[in-house]
Amino acid sequence: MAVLGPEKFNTKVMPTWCPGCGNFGIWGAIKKALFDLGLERHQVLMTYDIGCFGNGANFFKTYGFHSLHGRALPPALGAKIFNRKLTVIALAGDGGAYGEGLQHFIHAARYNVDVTYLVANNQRFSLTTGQASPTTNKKTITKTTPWGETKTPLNPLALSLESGASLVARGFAGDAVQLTEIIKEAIGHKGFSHVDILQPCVSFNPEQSYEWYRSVIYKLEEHKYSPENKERALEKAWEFEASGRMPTGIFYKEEKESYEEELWRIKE
Amino acid sequence: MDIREKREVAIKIGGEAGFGIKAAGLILGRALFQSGAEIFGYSEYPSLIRGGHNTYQLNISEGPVQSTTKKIDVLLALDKKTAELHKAEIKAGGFIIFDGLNLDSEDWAEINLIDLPLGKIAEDNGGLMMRNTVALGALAFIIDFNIQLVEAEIEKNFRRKGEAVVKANKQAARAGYDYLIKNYSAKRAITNWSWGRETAGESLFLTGNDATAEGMLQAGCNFYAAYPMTPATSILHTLIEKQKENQIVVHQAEDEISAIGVAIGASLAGARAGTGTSGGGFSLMVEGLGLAAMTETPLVVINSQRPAPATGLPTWTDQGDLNFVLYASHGEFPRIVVAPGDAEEAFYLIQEAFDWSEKWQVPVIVLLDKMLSESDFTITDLKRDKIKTKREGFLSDEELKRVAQYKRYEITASGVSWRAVPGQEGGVHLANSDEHDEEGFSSEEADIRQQMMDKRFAKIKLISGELREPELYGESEADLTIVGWGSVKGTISDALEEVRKQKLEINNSKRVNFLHLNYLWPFPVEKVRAVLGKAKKILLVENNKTGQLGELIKQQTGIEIKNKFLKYDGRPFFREEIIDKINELTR
Repeated sequence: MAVLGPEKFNTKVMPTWCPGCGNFGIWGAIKKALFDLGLERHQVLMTYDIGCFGNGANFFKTYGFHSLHGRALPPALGAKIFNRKLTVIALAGDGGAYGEGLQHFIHAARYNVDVTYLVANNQRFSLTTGQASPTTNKKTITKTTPWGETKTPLNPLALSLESGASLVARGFAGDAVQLTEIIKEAIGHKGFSHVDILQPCVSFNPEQSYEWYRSVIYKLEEHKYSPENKERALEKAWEFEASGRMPTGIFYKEEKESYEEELWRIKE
Repeated sequence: MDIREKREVAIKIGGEAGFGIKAAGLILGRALFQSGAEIFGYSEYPSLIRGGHNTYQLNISEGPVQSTTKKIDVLLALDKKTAELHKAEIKAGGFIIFDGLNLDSEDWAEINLIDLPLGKIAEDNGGLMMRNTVALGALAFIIDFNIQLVEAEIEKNFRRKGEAVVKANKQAARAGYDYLIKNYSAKRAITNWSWGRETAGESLFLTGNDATAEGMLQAGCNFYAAYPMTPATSILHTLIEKQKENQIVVHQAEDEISAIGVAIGASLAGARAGTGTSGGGFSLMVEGLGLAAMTETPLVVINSQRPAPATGLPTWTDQGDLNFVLYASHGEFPRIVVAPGDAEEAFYLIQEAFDWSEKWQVPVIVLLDKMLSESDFTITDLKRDKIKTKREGFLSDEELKRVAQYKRYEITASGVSWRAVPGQEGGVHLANSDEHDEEGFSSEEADIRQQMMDKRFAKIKLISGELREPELYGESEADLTIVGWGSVKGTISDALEEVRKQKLEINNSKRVNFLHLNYLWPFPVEKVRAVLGKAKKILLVENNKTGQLGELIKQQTGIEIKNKFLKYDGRPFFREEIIDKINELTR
């Protein structure tokens, strides 16, 4: 039998994302990360939000739980707390993660439960054909903001940093190599890992295209950045607002006991 | 025992929140229970921590007692408000114990006034805080109860606070007792108790919530997630406390939406998982209920009802959520709804709830209410192994190896498909909230949608055949048949006993029975139709405004109940109210 590569995490269902969608890059990076880490299909539970990225539920051959909109995290927490041996990854878009399910995100970070939260952030509700989301920039024209968005976008990385997440990172769907490494580190990290992934939406977000992202991003690891300092990480999280430059990579990493380990310790 | 000889005394302790009213009542209740009495403890309190008016009532009996009464024998008034508010409840010849209130002796002509310097005695023995303990001693005297047994219970209760606290409290209680011997030696509400529970099994004095928690542990529940909400909160407290010695892991979630989601995730991973809340929290859990149903993930959800909608009356009782839990969620799916009537039933039925949920892979909703959750019940014959609880529905690793292609939602005659849990080799699948095919992949095909709906609903008929039928208590032939569900059971049972007693005493010919429903969905059509179809006169008793069970009975059997006794003021039914109603309808 031929030894399978990352494609062993493929299902019989081919992705239904738009051609050019950032989700393809994320899909590939996750499979590669799982493969590189030597994980077997049955050792991994992935929980999914509702949305374009949530539709990925059908495209990954691991244990999966396709949850409700905003609710990728609660089932992930329940499974991880009950069975600490599982590798648990929750996947959501910016609508589910930073809108409908925001409270779960903040609290999972606060608990520091050992779950990896991968958020495909395209700044739109795309499966419902392009409404403004919690991360849509001010003045942006969308179906629900025909005169321009008036609300201030949420800063996901600053939020998870302030909430207690022990690993905070940003990846780019157009850089699968770096993204794979980030996801590997996030899965390998014991504690709550939050990876916000810049995801171009070719159908409903023409402004934040691959080209645009490439013009503003730079890699932290190429600038001798070391992710131990939370204040420094917060500065980096606000750098785009401050100077128009958008760092990617691991912003912050801290070793501390995870929630489920502490919870079980009373029994030992 | 001959019910004509069975004696009962009702004591109410009242005062401001923070006086230790329930704490004192429970010490007395436990001491009485230890010596063989049967007790029903009922508390009323507002939704605040200090101030406001609290009461705790103990109905102490020589035989079974499962309800609270309007009329009391002894009122212990820790403040003036208590004396004023509850004066009318004291029976002629009853007692009021108070501290220096200027009670007008003409106004209180038929009541024995016992002026006890609670504050002074407490201060003499170490502090004003112990007023309630002094009162305990006095109560022990009034009901002719051995003060040493109260002291023993005080010792147990305060042990954690150290020897000095134990000693001071024992002294305070003894001083209260001695004061009455010295000054009111002829004043007793009862003497020479003759109790002694007859039981083959285990006896317990505990709340409905604690019985529920005990039942969960007995059922092997190993995961509970919840957000605090009165009156369900003490289930969370008790399970957290018991975490160390039991297999269960308890998670306090950030809200009820998360609590149910976390419980579903644990269940998916193979746990016997449950969550619990009151109606308001259940409202938030509704989307999760549908998620459990669509993914066929077993789940037990406890809803301890309180008067609603919105915040309602947080610390009072009501049965207004029946319709809500029967229909909660968008879409259609099979579910089981079960309502225990007392603490003992709660212990058994919560075990069945876990078994059914796992066997049929459907959500099971357990309906409690404040009256059941927070009242103290005496169980005289608990059998821990009565429900042969067992885990089922899982494929072992070996079995999975033999399966050529595992399908999580395989279509079967029973509608139930084998489960594999994350971590098991060969069982990889997607549990999907989207409509899905047998493997779990999303599908919008018309025929698959229809097959999957039919698969899930195939369970309902089989479930109906397995659930225990409603119980008919009392005479098989009756002039009046009472119908009820949930916590009205105890009050109706006690009222029925009173009717039997009247029958023996005055030789009347009233024949009354009581149809008590536990499983409300799937609805027990046949049994209800068989009993009510031939009933001469039916009385519906429910703690709600619209008679929801009555409507359900009409919908399911075509039988319309004309006599409805509905109470929706936040209070439970008092025994006298049911007795009066029975007398009115059997006149």
